[in-house]
Amino acid sequence: MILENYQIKLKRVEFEDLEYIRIARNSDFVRKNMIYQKIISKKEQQEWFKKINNPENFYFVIIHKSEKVGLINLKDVNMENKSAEGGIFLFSREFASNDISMRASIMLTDFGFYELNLKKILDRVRKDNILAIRFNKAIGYSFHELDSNVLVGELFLDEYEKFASRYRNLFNKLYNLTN
Amino acid sequence: MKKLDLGEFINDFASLFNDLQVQLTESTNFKEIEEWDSLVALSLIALVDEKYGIRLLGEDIRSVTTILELYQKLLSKQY
Repeated sequence: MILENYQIKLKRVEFEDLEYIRIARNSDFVRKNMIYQKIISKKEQQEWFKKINNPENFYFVIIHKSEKVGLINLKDVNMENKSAEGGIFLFSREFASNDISMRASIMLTDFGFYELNLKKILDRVRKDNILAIRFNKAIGYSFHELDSNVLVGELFLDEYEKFASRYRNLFNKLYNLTN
Repeated sequence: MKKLDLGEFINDFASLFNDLQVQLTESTNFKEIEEWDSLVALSLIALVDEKYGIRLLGEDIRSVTTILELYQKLLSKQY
């Protein structure tokens, strides 16, 4: 499964992607912002893949010009209460401090709300991950405290749309040349 | 659309940050500014689109490091 828009691709994670993701996930740049911060072994990575390689979990590699630059997900999709948990990380600061993260987030959040018909998307972030909190607020998330280290964000469609249309218009203009 | 001026562009660039701790000059490596992140990059892209009518892409930002190089990239795209 591949989603494509705004000159990037979201390719569903396959077994062949695991080692590349694991190495990036274990880098200091990525790990320091994660709730789970231990180094992940090959075996743990493969066990993780078994848990997420199913219709309840959508994990995508973000691909820019044939280069794997990040991972984005909607996990624990619950079709009864129409909810899922989102997440994203870019593999390097070079890509994290670019517009790719927002292009990918708009694509996958649109997929969640309009293809999966979700009503709510959650996100858990470390309290000290100021950039992630700021980023999520910029697409409409509101946060509350889960515990002393973690915040939970909630995103609903009506709030998301107050922010998303501006990004879609900009990205269509820049990358899809519709204007 | 407004014509690009380096001094004005540096001021515009500085206005994108909420709490800028450094004095920007044309030789500033903007990617080393602590507050530089994806949202500031998006604000920059939106600003140059709205004010100067220039389509600045993410890969354009990746290809430069200083404010002068960014300004020159914008100049090359304006015409």
